[in-house]
Amino acid sequence: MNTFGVALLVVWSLLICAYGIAVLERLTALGLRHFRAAVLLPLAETVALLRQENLVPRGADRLLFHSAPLVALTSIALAALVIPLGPALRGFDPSIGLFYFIVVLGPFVIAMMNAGWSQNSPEGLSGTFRAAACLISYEVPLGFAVIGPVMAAESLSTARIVEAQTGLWYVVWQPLGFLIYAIAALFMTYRRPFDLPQAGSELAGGVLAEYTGARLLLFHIALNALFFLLTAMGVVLFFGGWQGPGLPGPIWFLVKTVALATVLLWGGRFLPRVRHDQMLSLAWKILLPASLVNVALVGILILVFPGEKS
Amino acid sequence: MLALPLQSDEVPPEPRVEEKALPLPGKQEREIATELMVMSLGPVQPLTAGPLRLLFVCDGEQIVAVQTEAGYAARGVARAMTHATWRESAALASALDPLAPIAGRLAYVSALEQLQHWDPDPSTLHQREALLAFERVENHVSWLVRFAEFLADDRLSITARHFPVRLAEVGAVLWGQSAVEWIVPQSGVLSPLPHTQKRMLEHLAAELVALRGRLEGNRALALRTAGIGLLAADRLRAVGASGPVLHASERRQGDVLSRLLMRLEEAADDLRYAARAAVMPSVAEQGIAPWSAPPGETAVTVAGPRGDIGVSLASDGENMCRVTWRRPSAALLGLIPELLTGQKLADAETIVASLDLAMAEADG
Repeated sequence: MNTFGVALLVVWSLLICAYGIAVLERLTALGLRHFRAAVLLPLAETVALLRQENLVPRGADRLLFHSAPLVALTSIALAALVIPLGPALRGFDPSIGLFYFIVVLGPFVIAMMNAGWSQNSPEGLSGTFRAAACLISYEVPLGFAVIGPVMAAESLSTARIVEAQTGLWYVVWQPLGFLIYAIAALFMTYRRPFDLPQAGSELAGGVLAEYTGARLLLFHIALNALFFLLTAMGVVLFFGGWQGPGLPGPIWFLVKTVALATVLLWGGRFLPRVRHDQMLSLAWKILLPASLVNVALVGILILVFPGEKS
Repeated sequence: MLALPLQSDEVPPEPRVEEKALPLPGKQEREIATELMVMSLGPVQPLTAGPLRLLFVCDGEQIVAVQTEAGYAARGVARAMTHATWRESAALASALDPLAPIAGRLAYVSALEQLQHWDPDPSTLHQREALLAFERVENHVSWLVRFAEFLADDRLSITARHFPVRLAEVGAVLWGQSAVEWIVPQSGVLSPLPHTQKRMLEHLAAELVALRGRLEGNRALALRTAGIGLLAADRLRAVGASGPVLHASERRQGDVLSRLLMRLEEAADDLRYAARAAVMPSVAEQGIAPWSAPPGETAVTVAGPRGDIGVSLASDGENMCRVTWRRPSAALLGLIPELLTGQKLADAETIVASLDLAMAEADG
């Protein structure tokens, strides 16, 4: 397949994933009884947003305002390339796949902050500050959380990490690392209970306060697709990726990803929204020390049981 | 044909704070001399029942001053009552706080009865108190549903949502579509409440007590609600506040969590009372001859869901020449600037929502 074909496939896959997450989010909120509404509501919202006028606020930084949704989507599309859906089903498999994944997602957060900053509104600016607080909350614990699987697999390649879990999933002996990763994923995608940068009546949408129409739709797609990607990477790092009995690899991968996404979305709804200073406290006082403990524990286990963890 | 407004390049006016009226701190008084920012919320916002505009002057996430703009829901109820018959006035009194029509109407009807020197019999009083208690519970549980939405706490929201539904079921059996219609001067014929409904009320009261117990020990909830929006009981009494907000400051710490727990506690007590005292009105209003209010003055206060609703009437023998309302939300409205100053912007909505302001009642 040529480059254009791969790009088209990735974009379509992201759209489908974003739609899937939107449906899942509504299903967890409304319950299975409202399955039809959960399936149709995202489509109705998409049509409504496409019919909306694309407004640009007065005094906005037009370049940043226009480019932010595209930058967000592009970084997610690039990150999607290293997710291995099956043994030979991935965009490409660099030897530093996981490092690449984290690095190319960096511009996504910058895009969100640009979106808030460029609006020339106090709501957007406050949302930007909160997004920045969110960023410095999750980035370090997330980095340490993914070191555990890397240490165990002795590789940064996502395919190699999956293959290393043939005998035992890493979640079994690295539950702390998985927990930190899951919390960081909720932080990064502004999911409940860490949705402060774009929630709350006082900010009227926060970083996305002044976005309307197709641009807002692009952001919604980007946020949902990012959540799917992070859950998929969680499956790669801790749940053995595509591996499983009976079914083809990609099916196993999708089943695990959807199950993990459901658990995260469902669990996040049962905690009150966390304030930004509490978010920082959680990250620096609990998650960071816990992630260091996790790295130390993984190191000790690898030394004590060499070759037993895969 | 509908005339659409012409499109114009005219910029709508920016929300402005009256800087001279607000005690803004100087740059040297602030920890970091950043530029202050004005955030506008409302007039239509979900924190209060009815429109209220809030302008927050923020230093980053810290609120340094607040300006409130009320009056959007003003209807001149008291003034209108001086030109109305007693029946029309009773309807106006019900509309003072659309969320608590029984309290407003009962205050007015009781004041009329006092003017007439008519004492209701104990059973009528019980019936009215039960109605009032039931209305308080309805308001408290509806507030709980809204409050859970602000906190984005689905567990609380799911638990809270079934209370209004079940109360509505009991209410429908108790007094049909409109309980307000049963409150008329010199009236009150009763029959006992069915046992099924009594048991349901008692069961709901037990569920509210259990919910309060769970919320008291809920650490995640305490993180967002404990220690913020503190109000001293003395300050509340000084401005004439009453109801659950005052009780939360008198019997508990006076923060947002206390107000939540106090409402649940009062709702459970009210439900138990309603289960004991409630009786079904069995005869519609009848035989009430048209009359003029005798000359004189009187004042009556009843316990509404947001505090004491009072009315003071002065009659010249023909019409009411003066009607004055005591409005519990109005008393709390004035406290918002001092309550929010120094708080975090992210807590502002939780704090304002915890007061349960009804703007129609506050604006009068």
